[in-house]
Amino acid sequence: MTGTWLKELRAIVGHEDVLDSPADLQTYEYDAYLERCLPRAVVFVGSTAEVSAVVKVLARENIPFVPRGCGTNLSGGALALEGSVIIEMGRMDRIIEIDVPNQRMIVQPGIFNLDISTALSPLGYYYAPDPASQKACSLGGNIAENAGGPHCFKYGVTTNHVLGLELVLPDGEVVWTGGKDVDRPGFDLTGVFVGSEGTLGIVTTAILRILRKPEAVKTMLGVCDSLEDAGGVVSAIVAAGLVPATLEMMDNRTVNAIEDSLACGFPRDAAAVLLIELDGLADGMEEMTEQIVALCKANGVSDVRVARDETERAGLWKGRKGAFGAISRLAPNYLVADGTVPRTQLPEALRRVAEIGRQYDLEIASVFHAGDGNLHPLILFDSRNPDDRARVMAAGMDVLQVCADLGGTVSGEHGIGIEKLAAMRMVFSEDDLQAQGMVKEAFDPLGLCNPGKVFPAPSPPGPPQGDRSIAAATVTSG
Amino acid sequence: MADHPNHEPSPPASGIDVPTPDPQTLVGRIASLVGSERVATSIDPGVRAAFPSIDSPPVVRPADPGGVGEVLSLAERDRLGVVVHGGTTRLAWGSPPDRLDVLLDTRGLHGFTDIDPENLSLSVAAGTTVAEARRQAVSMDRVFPVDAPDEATVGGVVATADQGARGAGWGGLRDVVLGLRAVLADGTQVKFGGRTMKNVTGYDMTKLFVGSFGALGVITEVTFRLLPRPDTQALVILPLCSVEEAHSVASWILASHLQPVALETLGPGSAGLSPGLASAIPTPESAELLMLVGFAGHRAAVDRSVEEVRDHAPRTPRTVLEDAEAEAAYDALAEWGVGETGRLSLRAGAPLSEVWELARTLADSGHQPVAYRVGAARGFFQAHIGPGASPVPAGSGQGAETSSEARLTALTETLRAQALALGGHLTVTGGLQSLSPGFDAWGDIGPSLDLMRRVKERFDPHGVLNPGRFVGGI
Repeated sequence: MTGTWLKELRAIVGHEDVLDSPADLQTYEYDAYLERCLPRAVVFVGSTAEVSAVVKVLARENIPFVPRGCGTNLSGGALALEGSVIIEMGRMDRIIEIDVPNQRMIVQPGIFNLDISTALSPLGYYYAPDPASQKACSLGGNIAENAGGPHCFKYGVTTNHVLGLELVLPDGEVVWTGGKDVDRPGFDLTGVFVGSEGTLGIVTTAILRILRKPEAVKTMLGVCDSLEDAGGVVSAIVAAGLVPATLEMMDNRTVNAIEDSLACGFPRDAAAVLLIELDGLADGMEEMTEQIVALCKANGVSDVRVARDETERAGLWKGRKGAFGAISRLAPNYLVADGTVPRTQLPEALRRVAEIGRQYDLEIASVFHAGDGNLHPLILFDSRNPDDRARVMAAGMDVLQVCADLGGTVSGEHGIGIEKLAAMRMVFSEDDLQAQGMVKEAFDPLGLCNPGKVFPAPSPPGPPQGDRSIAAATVTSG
Repeated sequence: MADHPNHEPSPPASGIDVPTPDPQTLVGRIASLVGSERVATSIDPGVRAAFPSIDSPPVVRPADPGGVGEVLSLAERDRLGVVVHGGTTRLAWGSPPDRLDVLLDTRGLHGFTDIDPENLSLSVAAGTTVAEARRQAVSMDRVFPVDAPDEATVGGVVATADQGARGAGWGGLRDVVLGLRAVLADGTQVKFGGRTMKNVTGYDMTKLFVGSFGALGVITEVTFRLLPRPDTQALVILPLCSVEEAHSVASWILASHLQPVALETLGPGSAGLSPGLASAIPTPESAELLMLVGFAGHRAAVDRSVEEVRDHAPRTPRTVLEDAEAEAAYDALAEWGVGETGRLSLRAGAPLSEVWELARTLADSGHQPVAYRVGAARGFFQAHIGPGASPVPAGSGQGAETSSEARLTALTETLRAQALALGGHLTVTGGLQSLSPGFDAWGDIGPSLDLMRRVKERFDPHGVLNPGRFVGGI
């Protein structure tokens, strides 16, 4: 029942660049979340014109579609639900312009996050948002999820660094929002698009802010005897008026997993380690480092190791950025929770998370962005065991409820996707959700773009609203 | 290019014919909703200055979001036009309203709803002033990261995205607002964002409301990100002799490792536009332009930055203000241009290294009197322009009047065309009446206007909120 639209898509992008055989489609039935769902087809696009033409055909046929970058999404956002066609953006990975005098860069969305800073490095510049998956994730996905990373405490998240977008809207129209200038008159459509999880359209070009590389960087590792100590250090650093670029924490289970797989020299007996990085001018850097070491010691940190050179610094970062990968050694699967709490509530949040682990009899490893109160409990399990799976999902929801109860929110940087649909009502009223729905309708009146994500099913259950975007997600479990 | 006939700032004639309600009847009806002590007919002089030709509509000052909701529900039911204002410091920005039946003064929404210095957040009722928010932050040893006039309300600065000098270091309003509450056109109360720096739960509606000019809802509360108080602040003041010289110094600073929190340049005579600035900063007689370069952070880093800037300064003196003195200078600078509503005022943005073109064009135009300012680290240009060299004597003929208007219109069109060509924008932020009738205060904002209209139609289908005041007549 393919109709002519597949032929039309092939005419636009080339015969080889449309996949529809079951074997090919299986490669695209998952992302980095736990569910699977076969797409109806996969289309590789190479230009804005192709994206627009493809979307026009699909819109005419009332066929939903999902833009996909590298598929590293942790909340199921890249899954093709409701018979969606995947629009594969990986080939649109060009750098269009590096504009140093204006501190801007224009790129296509398929580019790997890391490749942006690699290209800028010889010029003495970089792009600040650096999610741990930066080697494997693309900018388009970063924009869709408003990705964070370990340098947010000082530099903010993706949205603070994206100034303009070329978009293909869900009817195929191409439109620019924002530009190289800031605070343009008009609604900040760029701002509302970033973090919309691929539900408002497809990014085909982005204007980014680029930053001068800092003159000096100091990285240190605090060895903590308890998670509370680590939390106290962070508070003391903020109270002292210091703004480190990085304040990251990893618990004992994570540290050991990292040591088993990467051998970075982290102390295996530490209750937690705290990775702190300062950047800026060289002047004052030594004094600030000493100040932080003293604050650490005064707050019960038993040892602070300051990286002496770039090799030692790279070693510490290798451990942090490899943490999620290393956790895979501990169990066949894990669910990453992604709640955020006001920073001072971190110790309480961690106590409650540990309690949830005991209650459900599940092992939990924790990695968190301590500076911004964003915690990532990784709940370990084996997906082949259906009972495990149900307990993990329930535990994950409980963790998010803890974050909401403590004044935080249910997603700090991984997105709602399908994973946290039920958690949306922990923080939003029906009216709040409806206001967001109005934005969706303005961009995507037919509800074709990435259906089944972000918006929970209407509650209380009522008659169908005829809007695909707020219909319940239907997922084929794998 | 600049004159857009698509927006006619004339009253309702077009579209649905809604009769203007009798103000006295309306006062009674609003009073029955929010209490008679919350309704008045006397209009703030700031409103009068921004909209010289308005009648005397009822002014309502609700005490809480519920009151705002009552007023908006009534307005939507009766298809009234509600114009929202706070401290009125930026009310002259943009287009005058197409329709004004009720003035909604947000200053009844007052105080702090959540104070959390430890977690670097502060939730503020929308009608609270910037001065009050700043004092609250200082009392907690924190920084409130908005440079705006003392009397501006926090709701107003968010609705206009109005950020001053230290935006170079702090970012724009979109970067420092963590969440907000608003009342929509139908009276529904909603909340967006939260209190944490990282938050991707649902759409980033906060961004949509920052800079939305009251067109989507009435902001009732804002949660700001606070910053730790820096160890040291310093503000270097450099005299410069030309736009070229200023451009060259600014380019050097931006390409260096230095991280200025402010990089402002005041054109000839422009320091006079901030009462208090002349006493806060020493103004050498010989200076044509003044560049203010601010740093904040660790003492050693600030000292080194100040030294480098002084070493690169082409002329003397190179005064340095520290801490309290620097703070006073920033406060004075934040008042720049307040009360200049009668004069033609422009605000433009362009890519960083190109924004200087606008200053050059204005300086070369020979037009007098002018005062301008360039924010080189964010690419801003602001100007206040007098009626021109040939003042219009009272009772003079139409000829002189037309020529002043024609001159100002031509100059504004030239600057706008240039800003657009550079990839920027230019907005008329005051004195629109000194330009040709029908001149579009916002200019062409490009094809995304259609999408903006669709958003507006969903949020405010009957055009109740600030009708006609925003881009494209939204």
